[in-house]
Amino acid sequence: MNIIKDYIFEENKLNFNKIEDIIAESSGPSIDLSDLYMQYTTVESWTCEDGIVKSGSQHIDSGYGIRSISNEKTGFSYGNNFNFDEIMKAAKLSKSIIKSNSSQTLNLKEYSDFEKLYISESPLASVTDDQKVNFLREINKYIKGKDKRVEQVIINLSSSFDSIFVANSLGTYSFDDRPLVRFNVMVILKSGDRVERGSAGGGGRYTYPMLLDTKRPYELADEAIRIADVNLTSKPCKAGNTTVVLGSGWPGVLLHEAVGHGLEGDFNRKKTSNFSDLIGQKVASDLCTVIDDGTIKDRRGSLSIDDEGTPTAKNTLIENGILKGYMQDLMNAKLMDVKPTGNGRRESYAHLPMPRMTNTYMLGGTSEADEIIESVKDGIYAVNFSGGQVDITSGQFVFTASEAYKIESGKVTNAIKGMTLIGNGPDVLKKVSMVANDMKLDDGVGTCGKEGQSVPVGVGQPTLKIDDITVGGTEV
Amino acid sequence: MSATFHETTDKLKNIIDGLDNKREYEFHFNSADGADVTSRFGDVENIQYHNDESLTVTCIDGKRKGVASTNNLSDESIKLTIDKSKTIASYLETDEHQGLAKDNLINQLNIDCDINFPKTFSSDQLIDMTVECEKAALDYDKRINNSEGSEYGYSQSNNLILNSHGAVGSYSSTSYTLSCVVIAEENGLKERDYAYTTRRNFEQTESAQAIGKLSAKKVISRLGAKSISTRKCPVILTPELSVGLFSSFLSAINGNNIYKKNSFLAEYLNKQVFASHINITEKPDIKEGLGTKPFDSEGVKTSEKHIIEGGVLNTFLLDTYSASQLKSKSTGNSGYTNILIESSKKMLNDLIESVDEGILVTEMMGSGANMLTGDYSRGAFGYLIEKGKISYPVTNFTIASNMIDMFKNIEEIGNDYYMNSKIKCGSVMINDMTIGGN
Repeated sequence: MNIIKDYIFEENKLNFNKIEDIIAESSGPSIDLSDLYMQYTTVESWTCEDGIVKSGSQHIDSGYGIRSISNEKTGFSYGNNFNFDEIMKAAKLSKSIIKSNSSQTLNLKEYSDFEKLYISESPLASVTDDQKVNFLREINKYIKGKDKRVEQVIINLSSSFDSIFVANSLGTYSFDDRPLVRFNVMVILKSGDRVERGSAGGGGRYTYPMLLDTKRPYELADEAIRIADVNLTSKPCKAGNTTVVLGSGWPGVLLHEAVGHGLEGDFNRKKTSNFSDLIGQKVASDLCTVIDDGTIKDRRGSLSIDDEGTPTAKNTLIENGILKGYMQDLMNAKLMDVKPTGNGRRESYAHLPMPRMTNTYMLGGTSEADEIIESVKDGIYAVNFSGGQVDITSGQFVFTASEAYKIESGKVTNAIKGMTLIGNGPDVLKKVSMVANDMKLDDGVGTCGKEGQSVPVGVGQPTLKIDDITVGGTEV
Repeated sequence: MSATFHETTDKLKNIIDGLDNKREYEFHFNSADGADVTSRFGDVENIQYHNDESLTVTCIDGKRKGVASTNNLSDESIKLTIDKSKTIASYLETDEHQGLAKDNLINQLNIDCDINFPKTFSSDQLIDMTVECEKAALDYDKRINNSEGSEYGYSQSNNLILNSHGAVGSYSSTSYTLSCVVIAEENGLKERDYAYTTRRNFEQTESAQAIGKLSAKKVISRLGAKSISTRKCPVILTPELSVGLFSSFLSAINGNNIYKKNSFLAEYLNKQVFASHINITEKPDIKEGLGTKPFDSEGVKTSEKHIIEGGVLNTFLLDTYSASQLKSKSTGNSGYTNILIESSKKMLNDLIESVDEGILVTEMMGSGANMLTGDYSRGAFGYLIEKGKISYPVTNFTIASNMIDMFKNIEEIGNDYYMNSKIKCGSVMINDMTIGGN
């Protein structure tokens, strides 16, 4: 069931004829595209802290956004009240960016023939509230029993169910229901006078049983303890240039920041990206093939259709080092005269769509991970990162490691703390000198921010070696 | 349906008064409307109209706390939201520290605290301001060859708190923001930079010309940046970056991080945290202040407090829950208001002149401030200082230390106050930071 179709339409006496009237009102001869996006989202969150399941919350957010695009101009208005007259007013307002009153009539057809990549069911109702609370208590007990040095445990279980409807002046409308589950655990360990934190999490587009009925939550709890334990013995990191080996999976966040954002269509249409005008050119070492794939079943970054109603796709961004294409939404695809790629995403009805990543990863190579470590005389092995940022114009990026080790004479030795990587996206990609055959996607916890809008994403990569990158730390 | 803020206030007051008295309830209602306009290369690119409202209901049932929210303010939806908060509470476990604010509660509606300066604009007026701002930037230097445009935004918001112990409070505020982002290119290398102004009162915002020019000056000065070698030296953080450092400090003394032991300052109450010349004061009632608030987000009256005196930490920032955990009382700090960092009354130039070899840092990237250990390691952009003078822009380096050391090593704070934040402070000079370069 879709809440927009079965509840919002009903309650507000909306039907497809009225939706056609709204789209007609927001479009016209000088309007290239107009669309109406309706959304009903329910989010819940349960947290266990100090051994007590002490907080729970549920938030409902619903509303619509309507926009009119003419060439490079966009008018946009949104509201919470689904009353037909209110939406018509918003349609007029969004079109007021073009000083023209004429509108056009149109016939909308449903587009529903896309592949459904996740279950159309709310995670919130997939188990009882009692079961959620008991699950958190059980994980808490497990962690406390596992390690005596545990000072603090915070466990969070959250989910959302997002029902959307999108109709546009190209003549189609679609519905999509999007479940999303996330589990997180944070552990603080104390040993002597040192305290360190470890965290881990996982999730995806499914209902609770797909996570709760597996061993996964216990593995993630073990992982959080392991990371905190490693950090308890970590030593300060030496600043300067060195060779860095990135682990598989989550370190793909570096690829997301250093390369992914620079390949989003809006930045390249405006030529503000470091990758502007470089299609067909060599931007990375031969070993690098980078994909953005919104079609992987049940993944956090996946979508059956994007927020403009375009089916998502598996798009090759870089192939053997050659730049193949950018990620596009409808507006930027039209302005750049290319096809939309299914990357038009928005945080909510109250935000404008723009080109965004889905699941972005690098394909595996032919080396073995061990062989890569053994090839490094003196360097760093970074396996977990806590966050990063990029300036897409200069290509400059920065990452902070939450788990990293020294490599000495081909062997991984002591853990290091406070390590930051800094570099330039295209430069670093050219310095990728070995790629392993162990490509892995992350556990499903990524959230990407762009121009104040957050969307869930996935990242991934194989183990790989970067020759000569700048590392920050406290030791000289 | 779009009822005014006053009508909604009356409706919610009636509802909360009619609820059972076995449980405690808190209603928090916010509404805001406004518009944003972006222009690029002299023509309007986006016009966005905003209109938001949201109600959050907190229910405490026998020391168990449930929270539910909605943005649909129909009678039925409000009832469902209250019921949901009760249901959630009933599934939770008892936590002896749960409870709504009881003491020092606000009891006044429509409080005027000099932060509400409504003004209406036509969309053409907004477009004109952004076009003028971007033009000032584009005309500044030929090397500025691209733009992400100039944006103008304004909004008016209304804030209401009600709780079953008698908290009743509301106020309204406005904000006006103008920004400009431009790109310059030299020898095939591109740089971007921005400038912005944000104020409560439109009359106090900096002019479109000034913001355009400032963004242009900043981006041009970045061209020709070189790398730098690894070293230890003093750094000067611009006021904008100093705000970030002090906001990490405020987060480290937030009661919720203290009782969770998730703070490097957990054991520092009444101890020396900063050098002895540093004083930090919270002032909730500054006219036109970006952080000015008559009550915190639980309805507790805000008050002036000396957080740091002579470098010593006098108080943590406590809300009702963390105060109970720490066996203390709420300081009216479910959130904080205006924070004033006293300066040593020197100009930025004086600070630069006092440095023999160091770096003026103007931009930091990445999230490398660890609140648990205080470890600090971030990517940076800036200008090399040699013999008391700026010599050239430097890039691709990191600055690192531990915040405990950084706070103690703050040698000077300039009087070049940053006006775009509720944290008011100037440039900060910190000795002995590690620079990671090539």
